[in-house]
Amino acid sequence: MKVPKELMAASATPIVLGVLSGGEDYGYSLMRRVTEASGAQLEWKEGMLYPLLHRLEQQGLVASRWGASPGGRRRKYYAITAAGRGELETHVTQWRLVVQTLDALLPASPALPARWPEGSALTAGGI
Amino acid sequence: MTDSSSLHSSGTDALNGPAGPATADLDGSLAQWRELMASRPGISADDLDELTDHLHTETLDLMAAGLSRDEAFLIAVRRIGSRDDVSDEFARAHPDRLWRQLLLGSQPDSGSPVGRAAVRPGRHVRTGPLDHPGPLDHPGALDHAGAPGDGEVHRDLILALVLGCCAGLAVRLPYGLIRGLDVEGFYPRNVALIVLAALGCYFLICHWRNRSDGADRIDRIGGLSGVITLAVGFAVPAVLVNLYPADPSSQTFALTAIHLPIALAVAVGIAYLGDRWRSLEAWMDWVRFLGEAVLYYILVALGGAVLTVISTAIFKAIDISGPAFGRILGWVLPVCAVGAVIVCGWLVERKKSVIENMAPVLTAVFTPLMTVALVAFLIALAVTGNPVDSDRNVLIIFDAVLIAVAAIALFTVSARSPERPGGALDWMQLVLIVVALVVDLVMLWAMAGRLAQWGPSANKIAGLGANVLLLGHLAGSAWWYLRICLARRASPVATSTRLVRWQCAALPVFGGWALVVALVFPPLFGWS
Repeated sequence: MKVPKELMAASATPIVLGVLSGGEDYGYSLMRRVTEASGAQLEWKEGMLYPLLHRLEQQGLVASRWGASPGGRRRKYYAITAAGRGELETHVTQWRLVVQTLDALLPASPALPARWPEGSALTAGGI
Repeated sequence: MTDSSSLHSSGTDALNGPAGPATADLDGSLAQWRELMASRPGISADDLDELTDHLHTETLDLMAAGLSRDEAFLIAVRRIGSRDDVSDEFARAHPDRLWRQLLLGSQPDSGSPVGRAAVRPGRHVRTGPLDHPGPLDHPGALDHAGAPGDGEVHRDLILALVLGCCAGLAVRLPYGLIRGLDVEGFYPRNVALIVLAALGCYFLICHWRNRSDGADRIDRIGGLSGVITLAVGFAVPAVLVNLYPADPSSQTFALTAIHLPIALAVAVGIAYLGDRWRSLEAWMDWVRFLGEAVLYYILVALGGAVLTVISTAIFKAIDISGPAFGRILGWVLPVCAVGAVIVCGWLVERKKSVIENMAPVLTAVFTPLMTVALVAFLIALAVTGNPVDSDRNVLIIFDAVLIAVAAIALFTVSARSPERPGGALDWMQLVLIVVALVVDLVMLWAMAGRLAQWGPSANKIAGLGANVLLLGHLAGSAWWYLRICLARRASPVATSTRLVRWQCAALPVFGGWALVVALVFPPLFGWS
């Protein structure tokens, strides 16, 4: 499904932080987990993930270290920091509020996937 | 293979090559993709490793799902996104890197379809209209992606030359036209106003004319608030300074002459940064600009001096020397000296890498020297005793040294790569800053003593204020450097960002203090 750029930009940070709150991860695997969580519905330009991760690192929300892939390539792993967890909590509260409001006001649409919003990326713990 | 090249632009041919052993060929494709990506500004070798790993893992995943190698690679490349978009996004996340990598030169353009680059002061992210058909755009087009059109380059240069001449004449004409002008009273306080106002106009006009990123014109020049701040920042000093009585021998006159240019230089940063002036980190670009502009100006001035000496010698040799030649020089030299400032502004925007190459060397050379000088000063004080009795000139010299330390720290930070973990250079900086802190404390003690002994004066209060500000600034810098040096394992990006923010925050603070000294001190101390 095509999601507007603004919505994507607003949700990217909590999505990434949410994935990392489950443990350290590298870019490609992080991407796969986001895709899986959205039921392969959410389309991301995968290259955009890295500038976002770097920004989060500059803000101190994630930390990175270099490791190696099983094939021996250099691979960068990202982990959430304490500040990142705090930020994620704020995001979760904000998104819950938005989702709750939408739930109460929007007409039930048959076009929406049945799992929405429970299985979506909006419930941070479920990613 | 053949169908993939018919689907996408011709660039895919070069990337896929003839079919061969799967893994070896994949490595080749990856290497080629990496090379194309590496030609983009704003992407470091580490980023390339990261992206290549992503591409590699994804291709293998897709091949495991049953796709052929070529199909898997093409889909992986497509999923990563167009190289333009990705590199633009990287450049936005790391604007500092463009200062190291972007080679802005006018290159012969062979009619490439790539949109013209946006060259605006204070904005180095290329945002031209870029629309490529496939995930692998034509490699030939890459060479021109960072280069602006020739016309734009020339337009900017002409603008710089015209504004430079205007500013030069604005400086020179009062001397030539107004009879009975109090030269010593007029120039020390007004030269910086005229020159920096012209430089600010140059930046604003560049922002105004450049419509490539679609933002509103008013937004591009910093929004209403930016323009008003700038206008007030120049108009108020201009009016006040010329209403104030001019007594070149007074303390407050000298203080105004020294502090006003500092305050105005910070204010021009608003014009330079345009719509980014409210972002604290962006101010580091203004620091980089200032550092580069000073170096360029020194080079241009050296060239001008050589030219003057040679032409004087020639005119002497052919006996045309005399009052006429002297009069011509009297016009040409000041106009050129002022105009060169604007031209340097243009030069820096064309090519920025001087400070990047110079700063590490300068830091490595000056940091130990400064440390030794400051330690020697402390030892001398310990031996001779009371610093309150030390000579006034000694205090002034060491105030200058402290400002130099703050400047060294500022420019070192501006050129420091935030990804780099703390190393020997950072420890050297930390030691220098800590020693400077001790010296600053001693100086504050001495100043307080002098203040108690002889009562307040404009100079003493100005010195005291500058030293208190320096103390706070150096203490903050030392704290963040310590954090960087101690965090050996963790990537210091977040701490480095805080260090940069701290340095940036110092600019408006120092600028504001300079403005207060320049404009409030004269009436406060009765024009003494």
